[in-house]
Amino acid sequence: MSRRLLLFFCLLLQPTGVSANVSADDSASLTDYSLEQLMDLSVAVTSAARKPQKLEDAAAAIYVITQEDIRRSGMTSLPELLRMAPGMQVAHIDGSTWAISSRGFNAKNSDNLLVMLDGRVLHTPTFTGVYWDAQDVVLEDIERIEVIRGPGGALWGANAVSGVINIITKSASATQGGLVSGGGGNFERQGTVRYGGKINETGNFRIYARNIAQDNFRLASGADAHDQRDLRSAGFRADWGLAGGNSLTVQGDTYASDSDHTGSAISLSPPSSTPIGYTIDQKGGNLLTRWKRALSTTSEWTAQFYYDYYERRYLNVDERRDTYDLDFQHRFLWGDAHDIVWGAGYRQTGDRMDNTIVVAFDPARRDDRVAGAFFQDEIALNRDKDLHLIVGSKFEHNDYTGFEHQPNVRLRWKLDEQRTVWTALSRAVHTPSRTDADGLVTTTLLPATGGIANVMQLQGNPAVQSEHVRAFEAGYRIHPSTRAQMDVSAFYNAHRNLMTIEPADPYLVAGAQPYRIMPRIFYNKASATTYGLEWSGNWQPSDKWQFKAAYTWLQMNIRRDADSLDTSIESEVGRSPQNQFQLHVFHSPSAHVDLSGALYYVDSLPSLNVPAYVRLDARIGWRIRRDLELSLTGRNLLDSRQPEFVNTSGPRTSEVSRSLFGAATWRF
Amino acid sequence: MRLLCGALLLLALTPAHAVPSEYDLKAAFIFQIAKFVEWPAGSAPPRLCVLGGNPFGAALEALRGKPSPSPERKMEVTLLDMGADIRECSMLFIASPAERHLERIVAISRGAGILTIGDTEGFAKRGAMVNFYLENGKVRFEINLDVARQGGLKISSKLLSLARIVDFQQDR
Repeated sequence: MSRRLLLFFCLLLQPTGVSANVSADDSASLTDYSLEQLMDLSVAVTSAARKPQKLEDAAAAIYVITQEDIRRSGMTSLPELLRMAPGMQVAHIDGSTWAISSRGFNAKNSDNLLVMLDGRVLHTPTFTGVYWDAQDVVLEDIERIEVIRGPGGALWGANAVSGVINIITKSASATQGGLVSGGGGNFERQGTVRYGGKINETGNFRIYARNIAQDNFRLASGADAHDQRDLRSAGFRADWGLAGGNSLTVQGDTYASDSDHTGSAISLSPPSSTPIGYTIDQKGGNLLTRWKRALSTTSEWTAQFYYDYYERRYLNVDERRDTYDLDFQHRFLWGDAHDIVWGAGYRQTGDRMDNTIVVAFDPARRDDRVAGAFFQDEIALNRDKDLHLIVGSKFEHNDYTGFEHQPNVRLRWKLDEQRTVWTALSRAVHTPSRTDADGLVTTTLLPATGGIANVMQLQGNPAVQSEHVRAFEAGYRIHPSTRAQMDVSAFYNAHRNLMTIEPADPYLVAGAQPYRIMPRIFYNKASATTYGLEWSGNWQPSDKWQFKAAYTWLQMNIRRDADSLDTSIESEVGRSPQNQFQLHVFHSPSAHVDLSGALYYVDSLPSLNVPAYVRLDARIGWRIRRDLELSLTGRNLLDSRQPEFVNTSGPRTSEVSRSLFGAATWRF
Repeated sequence: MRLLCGALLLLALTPAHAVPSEYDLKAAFIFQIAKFVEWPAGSAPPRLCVLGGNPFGAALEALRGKPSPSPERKMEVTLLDMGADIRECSMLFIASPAERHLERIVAISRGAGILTIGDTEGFAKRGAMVNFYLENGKVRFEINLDVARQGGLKISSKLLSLARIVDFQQDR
């Protein structure tokens, strides 16, 4: 071999020899190593920098509440958990009612959010909002809660106007073994029993029973607010992972709740209006089955069916509803650039209302159908796949307003591994509820004229149209490391066709004691623009410390049409806080102890005369054994009690009290 | 000059001194791990498929044709496109770009005698059978035994003794 040739070889080998890239020959010799020898070898550090992708590549304002967040919060009910999602407006009205919304229009009967639990829609078509007093789930069994602010109608259909909340429970395979948890405090007691086991090689199940009971809050005067509640539930979930890419889920729940409230009893002779205590009883159940089939690594379909039943009674009002829902979706990659999901669904809901003088529906029974289909294509616009265009729409037919379309266009640009910007244009609709179209609700008694009582009655309007929103959103996400993330989103919403309540000509109702009805009828005679900014950040300087903060700024302008006489619609502006700030601190001084604190600032609600408030919640958790954890949670620690919202449909306002709650969780 | 050159050659070719790249090492791991896994009867020769690009580079090519687990059975190696049929594979390495397809891969490989392997944090909890991770610069692996059993695979106790055993996303 000539000297020159050897030198050439030498030069060729030198860079590969000293760098991390071992040639094929070397790796061939590595295969002769035993497992133990391989485990002794250190790898070149260059590639250790590869980090898992943690953040969702979503072109929407999304926040995920994890099981760890839930555990560390010490909260014991679904609505209270939503408080920690940036941009949400959550206010406890009384023992069993909450006002929950995002991006404005907060109200007791807030109807702009779509809330789902494992694919089952929680809101009732009676008012397109959620009866929060009748919703419960074993919090330890929640895998995550996805909170999406902004319209979600293109995928989810009507009534996802200002957000979508998706509560996802764990697969039964992840909840094996037993769990007993119980706790009590000065306002609340609760207990949960859950057990999970194997059905066979491929199937797992869990069953649970749970009870949550809350004592009366206090009025501003310090008297009992008559708003205690009690909710009992039991249920199961079974999951099978079958050969051939099939997964099957069957789950069901049954529950009974009762909650105390105070209303006004109206009588045609003085005293015309007196506070009256009553109890809302709700019983219900549901059964859901989901079949998922992976056709290939890039294609799958899901078919889901559920049945939901409830009966809700208070005073003489009785509302019964059966809902059947069938949903199918198929997702596949088409070529290299298209990620397509399409689907179709059908929902039938029927109700029977026992009408009373105070609350009635005309007709008293109604069956409604919603049929719809959607498609969405996520298109990679360039070879590097860092620029994505998302287009899609839902097309739906409902029995109230007929055909509705809800398109959206989104653009996501991944600037680099750490930074993503996105923007979206979308349209979403809020279809009329049963109350909007058919309700007859007697609200107040006005001063008598000529010896005849005047009764104000809210009347549904079968001709009422859908409310709709056109939304422009943009967001920026940065995660410089796995320990720090920041998320900013801004939105501008143009709401049209908002419902107003317009007076109509009074008429006399004859009888032994004749009275005059002053109708107030639903029309679409207002519009609004809302805009705002939502910021959230997360910083984990070490394994022992974590900080999360969020700030939300909201502006609303509501204009009623020239011919509208609804003077109350503009006051909606003052029912959602203009500024909200929250700070969460988590600290684990040792492997067995964790501390958490949550500080909330919520701006005043001028229309309701609710002053701005600061709320502090704190929790200490102590894992005394591997299988046993004790915790103590304090809520609303800074104030003995304070109002967070006002029940506009009742004569009294409950205040949220300072409370302590101790709990123990045992797993076996 | 010649002396220096010789020293460099030595450095390059002596494994004890060379620092292997992460993926050369992982390729060797996969080759060894295959010896401790028993596939359902009647399985074809071991066929390693890689989905989501080829992070192994040339190390993957070096595995082709190597005898495993017995001298008469030669290892086959295939780079799969997204959407390809994975049921012909006996081992499937899911590279991190294919992460979002993991749940479907897990579903399809159930009962199909496919050893699913990954190296992305959380993969084993999400249903991959073997998942590599780094600890103090050394390659370690975790095994989701439930999934492996459901997949019709028998994993030797020796392999299990070297692995971290994980379940599906269990609560603590």
